Amino acid sequence: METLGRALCIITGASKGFGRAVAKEMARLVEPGSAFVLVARSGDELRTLQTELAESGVEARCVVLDLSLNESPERVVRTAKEVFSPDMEHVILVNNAASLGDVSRFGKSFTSMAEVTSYLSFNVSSALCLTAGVLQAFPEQSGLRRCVINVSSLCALKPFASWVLYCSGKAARDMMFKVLAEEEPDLRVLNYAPGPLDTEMHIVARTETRDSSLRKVLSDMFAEGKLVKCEASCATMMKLLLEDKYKSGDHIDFYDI
Amino acid sequence: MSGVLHASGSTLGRCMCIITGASKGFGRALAHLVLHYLKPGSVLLLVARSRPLLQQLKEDLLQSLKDMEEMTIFCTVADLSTKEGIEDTVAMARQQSLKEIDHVLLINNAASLGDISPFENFIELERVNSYLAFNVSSVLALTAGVLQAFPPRAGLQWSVVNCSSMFAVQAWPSWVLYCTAKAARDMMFRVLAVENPNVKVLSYAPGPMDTEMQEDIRRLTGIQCHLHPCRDSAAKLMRLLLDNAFVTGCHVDFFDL
Repeated sequence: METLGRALCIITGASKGFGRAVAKEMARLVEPGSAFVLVARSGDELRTLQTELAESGVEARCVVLDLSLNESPERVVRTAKEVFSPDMEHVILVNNAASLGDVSRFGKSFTSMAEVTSYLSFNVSSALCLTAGVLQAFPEQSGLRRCVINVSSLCALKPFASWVLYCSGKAARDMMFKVLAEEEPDLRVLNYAPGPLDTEMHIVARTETRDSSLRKVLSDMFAEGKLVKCEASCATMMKLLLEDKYKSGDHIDFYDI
Repeated sequence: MSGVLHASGSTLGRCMCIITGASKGFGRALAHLVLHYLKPGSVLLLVARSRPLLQQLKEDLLQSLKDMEEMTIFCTVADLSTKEGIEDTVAMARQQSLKEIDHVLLINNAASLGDISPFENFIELERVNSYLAFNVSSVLALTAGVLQAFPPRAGLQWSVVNCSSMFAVQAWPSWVLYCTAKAARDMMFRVLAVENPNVKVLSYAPGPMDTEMQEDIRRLTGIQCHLHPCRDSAAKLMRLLLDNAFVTGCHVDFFDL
């Protein structure tokens, strides 16, 4: 593919970091007649992004909400249906919204079931329900390519001390999307690990991580300029999407390319 | 008894042994088997929701103890999908923390199948959260609680078992809830293993056994496969625990042995 075609692009966690970079980069790769649905909790930042996209001629709707609330997946799907037009040829869902969880504590301190459930609700359940809702709203039909992306992590594959929530959530998501890939061979499913990104999440990671050796690794990475710029990782992801050769369900890391 | 049981002489020591989901299936088989490897002064804490089934199990176990030294067997009737259930179980365990114990063995066996249903059907956040709360959150909360009640230290043997599944590593169509939860658990326990060098962590996939859960699977999916008696799988797990040669954090399957 040279472009992503006339596309409906739904991006969660679009207000900053990787999600924002994805929105901007995808906007350059879609054809006229495309529409974006930007989801995040921060209305102001979303609306700024919406304006920027409009200036490049791309229509975007903002859905300002907390994805872990019961009615949220449905609200996103409803907006997506509103902006969809039958001459669109591509639906792309980017499950990017995520949180680090409290990395200042070790796993044995998580005695509160409610805290863990709250984390999983946002980082695992909401991605499942939103994806399910989008697939129901845009069922398989000829002429419509459907693509679901899970923003994954090395943490989906490797355990890291003081990161029990994040690692468990990412491992859960990778598996969730692998199951989806097995179930729907006509769907394109990508578990994309973007690399250690230069984002606000990394600031928290390198300052709060309880495990001292991991904390040092993270801050050294920052100090040595080894963090990956969102735009760079985004470019790699777009390359994957345009070439469209990846095996559905595979976990692909920024550094693999 | 199965022929794979360990040579005599090897025991679990004076052990605080906690088994969740003890009332039937694999948990029940483990309770029966473990008894033979507990030295006098050990405590066996059985956790499940059904008071009558637990009571019956306790009576059966006491019967088979007739010729052996006094062993303490407690039952905690607890719904581990609730805060109270976890707290009651931890409190019950904590009551034993002043005993002279040289081994803490926590077997996280309680689990549920969940809906076996296409991915697309999971649009309701509450349903997914409820499943993950019991199958993932409660396991972390309980393990954390018991780790706090019996702080790991040199000289105290600590073993925690995660009853895993081949579905923790293999994606299967229509099994998104179960696969996702098992994958999350495996990773959760890998993190705990990294964080706690004084704790041996084992994710044991018991293989398809002759349990009510398998009956449900057969009913819901029509899939029939050769089922192994619970006690055979329990015996393999026991051997792993007695040999104690497994690499902490690893995933071992019934069919690997």
